[in-house]
Amino acid sequence: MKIQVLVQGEQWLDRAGVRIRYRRIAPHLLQLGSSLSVDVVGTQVDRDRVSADIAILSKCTDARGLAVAEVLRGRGAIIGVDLFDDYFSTGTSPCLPHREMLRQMAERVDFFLCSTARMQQVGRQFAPDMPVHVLNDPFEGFDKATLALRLKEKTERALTDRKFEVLWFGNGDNPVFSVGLEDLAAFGSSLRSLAGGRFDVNLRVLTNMRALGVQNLARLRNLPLPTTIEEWTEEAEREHLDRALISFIPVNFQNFSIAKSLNRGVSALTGGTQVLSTGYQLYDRLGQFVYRDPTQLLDDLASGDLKLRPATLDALGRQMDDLADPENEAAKLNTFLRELDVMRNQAVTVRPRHRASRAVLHGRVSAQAVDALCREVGWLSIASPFTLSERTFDVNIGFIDDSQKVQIRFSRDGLGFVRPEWRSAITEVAGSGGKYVGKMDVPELPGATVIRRLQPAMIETRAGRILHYASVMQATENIIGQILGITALTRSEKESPLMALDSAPSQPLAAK
Amino acid sequence: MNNYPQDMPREYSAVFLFDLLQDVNILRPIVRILAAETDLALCLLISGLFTRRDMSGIWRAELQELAEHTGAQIASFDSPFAALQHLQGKSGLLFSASETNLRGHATNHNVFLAAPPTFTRITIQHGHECVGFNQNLEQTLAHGSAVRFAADVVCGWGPIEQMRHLCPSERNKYFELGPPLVLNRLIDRGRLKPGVQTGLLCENLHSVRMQTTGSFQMTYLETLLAFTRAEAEQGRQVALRPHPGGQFILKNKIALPGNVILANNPMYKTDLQRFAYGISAPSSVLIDMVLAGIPTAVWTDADSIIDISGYAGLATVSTVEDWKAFADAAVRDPEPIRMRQAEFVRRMALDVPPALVRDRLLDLVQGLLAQDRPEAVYGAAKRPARVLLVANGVIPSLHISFLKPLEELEQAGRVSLRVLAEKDIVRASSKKGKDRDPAKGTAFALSQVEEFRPDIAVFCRYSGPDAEAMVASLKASHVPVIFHSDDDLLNVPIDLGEKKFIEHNRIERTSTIRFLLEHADFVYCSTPRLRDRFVELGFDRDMYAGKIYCSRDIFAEAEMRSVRTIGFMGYDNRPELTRLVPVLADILARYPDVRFELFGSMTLPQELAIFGERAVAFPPIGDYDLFVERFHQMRWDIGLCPVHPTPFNVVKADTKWVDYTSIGTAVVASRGTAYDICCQDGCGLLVETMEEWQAALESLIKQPQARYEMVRAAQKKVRENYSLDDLTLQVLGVFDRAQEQVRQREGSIGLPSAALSPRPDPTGALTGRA
Repeated sequence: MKIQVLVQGEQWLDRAGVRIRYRRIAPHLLQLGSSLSVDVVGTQVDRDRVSADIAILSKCTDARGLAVAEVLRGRGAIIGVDLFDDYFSTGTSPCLPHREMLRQMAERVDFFLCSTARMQQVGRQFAPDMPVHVLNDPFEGFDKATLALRLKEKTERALTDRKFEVLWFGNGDNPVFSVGLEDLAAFGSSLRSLAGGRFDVNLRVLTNMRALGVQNLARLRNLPLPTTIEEWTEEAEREHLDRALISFIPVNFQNFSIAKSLNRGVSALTGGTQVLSTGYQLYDRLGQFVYRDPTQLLDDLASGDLKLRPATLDALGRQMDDLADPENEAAKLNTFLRELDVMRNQAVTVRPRHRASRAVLHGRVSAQAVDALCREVGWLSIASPFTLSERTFDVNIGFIDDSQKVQIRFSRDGLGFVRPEWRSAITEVAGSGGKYVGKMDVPELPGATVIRRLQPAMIETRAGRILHYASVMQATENIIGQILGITALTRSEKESPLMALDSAPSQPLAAK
Repeated sequence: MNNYPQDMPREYSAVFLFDLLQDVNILRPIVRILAAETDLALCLLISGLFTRRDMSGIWRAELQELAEHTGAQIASFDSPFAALQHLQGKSGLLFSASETNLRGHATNHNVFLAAPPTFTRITIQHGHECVGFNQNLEQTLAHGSAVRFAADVVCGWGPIEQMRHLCPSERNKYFELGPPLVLNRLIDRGRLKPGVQTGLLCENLHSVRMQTTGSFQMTYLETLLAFTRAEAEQGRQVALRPHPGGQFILKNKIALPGNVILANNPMYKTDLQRFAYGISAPSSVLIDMVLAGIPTAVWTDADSIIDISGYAGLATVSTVEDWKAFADAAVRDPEPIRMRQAEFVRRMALDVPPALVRDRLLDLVQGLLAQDRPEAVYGAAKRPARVLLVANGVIPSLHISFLKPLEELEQAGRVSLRVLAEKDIVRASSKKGKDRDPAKGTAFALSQVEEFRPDIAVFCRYSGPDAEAMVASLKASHVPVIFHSDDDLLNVPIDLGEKKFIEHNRIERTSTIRFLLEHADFVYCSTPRLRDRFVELGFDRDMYAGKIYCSRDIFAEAEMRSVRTIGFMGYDNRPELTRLVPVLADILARYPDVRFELFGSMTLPQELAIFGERAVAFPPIGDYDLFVERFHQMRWDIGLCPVHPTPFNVVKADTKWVDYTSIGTAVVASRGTAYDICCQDGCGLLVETMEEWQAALESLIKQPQARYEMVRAAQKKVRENYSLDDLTLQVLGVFDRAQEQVRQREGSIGLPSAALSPRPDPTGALTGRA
């Protein structure tokens, strides 16, 4: 069985999420007869032969994911989407694009892969009957002997020097939620008792540069410990886990935070630090290894009975096996996917004899990568009256220069898709620098009235766009569906809330 | 605050943010004072915007120079986090001269917001009229009157009552520092050159005030140019100074007449006193010019719309005719204008003595570093302890008793010494010795005391003028006053020569000595006998007698050799040597291999001159160091210490014995004098009669081994009991005792005790000679 994880761009290939979630289980899958590769979403649709049995979309948040899911599914592959950050259950406007994408994706995929049971719950709100598998973030194996030695050294050094370091590491900010350094600042007061006098304690913060703006730095100023702030790198994280006695992992009570995987807690423990967690009890599943009370940690340090110590490493190993052993996780995933595969083979699939002609209709704001993919794989790229971009599309339905009425223009490639009966309506375009070669007025078709009445001023403002978006896009789809010989159309829209204006509201998530 | 690193290094930092070019002008004097007065590690932290603003690179060069002169480190930053990286792990003080919540000050404001809590953030007022402190109308219209600071301490130029725009929420942060620019006067001296008849015209055309209540830019520019042309017609030059940050005239490439000289140097490098007068639109440069004492006029528009209330009292000019009239008046008779300005300075509370601004700054620094952390006091006070030495001149006694023992501490930056000599005071009181005005001398002496702000004052044999005034001033500042003497200066005998006799016994001098013996906090005598003498003379008080008077390192080790040279070193005109001349003549006659050398004031007696090259005299050397150097070159085998046991001599110290011993010379000395003790245990021969002198000299000539042993024993004694380390500790012990005396007398209040960090240290660690 071939499994292909699809990510949004090259830079995602090396992200921690990809490394932790997929690459750690890949070797174990191989032993089970399955292969797992990670690729950028898109070009795989250009092949006649489906290259994977299973495709998993991982954080593909633009129209490429939707279109690719449709194409690959059409060719018989099993499609899933991996849900590992909860941008979906919060009903605020910044989450709308995520919610809408998941809603549309749910219509095009065969299963959800979730990082936690909480994410499973979230997924169910969008597709109650969707098969779901929980793939725990697998941990990187740890060398018990080395870890034992390191733990012993750290404890001895702390007791001898009467000082130690506390580490906070991770993403310091989020474009939607108040997390990261804000959590650290909010829960920082619980560190006060660590610095109560028995030990000299320094807090080290390792985080991404974007999070280190003046607002966050000002927040950290009020921490009750002397603090050193550094930019996060993988190497620095390893180095400081090696050095620190304690990792401090506060968790707030937002939906986003409580759906997080145990990943940081696991990294902290297998990296050789005690875990002190406050706030939401996310790490309860790490049970005996997590401190909630700094005073108890200090007492245990004094008495040589820290929760993570050489004598408890066997227990840690067992706990990890239960929670996030890569081999176990690979096996469970393999079983789940094989069952889906069997079901697929039993189902009767009607495969089209010819490749469908496909188009993407761009809304107001559309990712350039979507247009690029269209060109790469031969899909039509069509601009709507809302489209801001000045790029040359195959077909452009919109206002030309200062004109007050919508016209349809065709590039040379676009012209090739025009049904024969409409070709006579197209006149030649002069002097457009070769971008568009033909144009036509909006023909008398269903929806034509909506388009003909449309004036630029009507959609200049956000309010105007919200008002007219659904009807204009629907009319546009009708017209191009008639004029062009295409069989499948995907909308591409990034401006919120336009992407959701033609869809039914999703079910609100019940409180836990 | 309780969140300081427990393992924080004991070194504290003072970090200065430079974002606007004009920040240099304000912060530079503070950097220089802290460099001179504290042990703080200094860092000049420069924003990326500063570098971009400094298109010509002159301000970067200024900071480079400042760093070189003050030992400050230079670092740069382009974001609050980048600045934080230079601050974290350290603690101390963070200074900015452009920090408010206004957009123009965002760079430093953000650094202040992000700074670690181990730094106390201090904002300095950067202009006479300044947003958030005391605003003019235009500033208020442009920025509102709710300007706030991220600083913990906000330092202003004047009393808080004058700070009309300090928000109520900021008032508790306020500290009255005074104008930092006056601090330059404590450091830069002697730059004044004779004035020339050139005026200085200043422009701040970029300023918000030139555009807010009206379009004053063109009016001012046109008037300025018309004036320069008018001056050109008179064949006169004028200097033009663009605002350091604005540089409007240069940026806009305004064509200037040929008689205009650009004065674009930093203000602190511009000798304003060179100019005959100054004219500017309302701007802090007016304060610079007024404080420099040049006739200064403030420009106002013809309708008097622009707010010049901050300069009320200064001459105003508007039209070209006004400018010309003012320039003429300033050149013709500047005095009335200066008098008006003096009144303005007083009313604006700008007449703050530089020393007071410095003291406030240092008090602030010390106080802030000591917050919740008593140990921080030592961090701030590790500046060199300042010791003022008042003496009749840089005399050998001063060298022996203070300059030499404290030399190593001074080189190590632990002590700062300043000598105030009688001749300096006399010189200040009169020109070329004529028409002496004692009040000027007194003012000079007091200004020296005030400027140097000593931690300890030592009057070493001082019998010159103004002792009473100086002692009063020192005592008012709780500075311990020590009187040191190595002679009975109340009974100088005629044996020392008539001139010395007359001079020392002048009533002004003896009364000064008496005054100091009575009123000094501590009296330090060179010998116990001298102390007893003063007691006998009726000075009924505690006095301290040193164990060592003079110390020397051994320069030439004892050497087993035949006696070749007998030497005598002395600076008196009538040394007791005279009595010994027949003995010496006899020795020279009888021992043809023996020579005699005389080093000092006395001329070679005729009875000895007949021996030609075997008896020579080296003339005296005034410079003490050169004298010592020359003395070390003497290769004497026997040294003579003939002393009449007069009351004056018997209280003197054994200096000559130490000197001779240090160059490997055996000593023959008069009995019944200071040499009785040092010569004990075979360390010298004590003699009384001429026969004894003769016998002693011959015994040494005849017994080279005995001579060698004697020198060895004497050198051992010097090493053990007369070392420089011991003398240094003795002097520091004296300082400590004097301080203790003052502390006991005054209670624990007021004495800057931590300032005098050197303390007697038996391990020798203090002097670096452990």
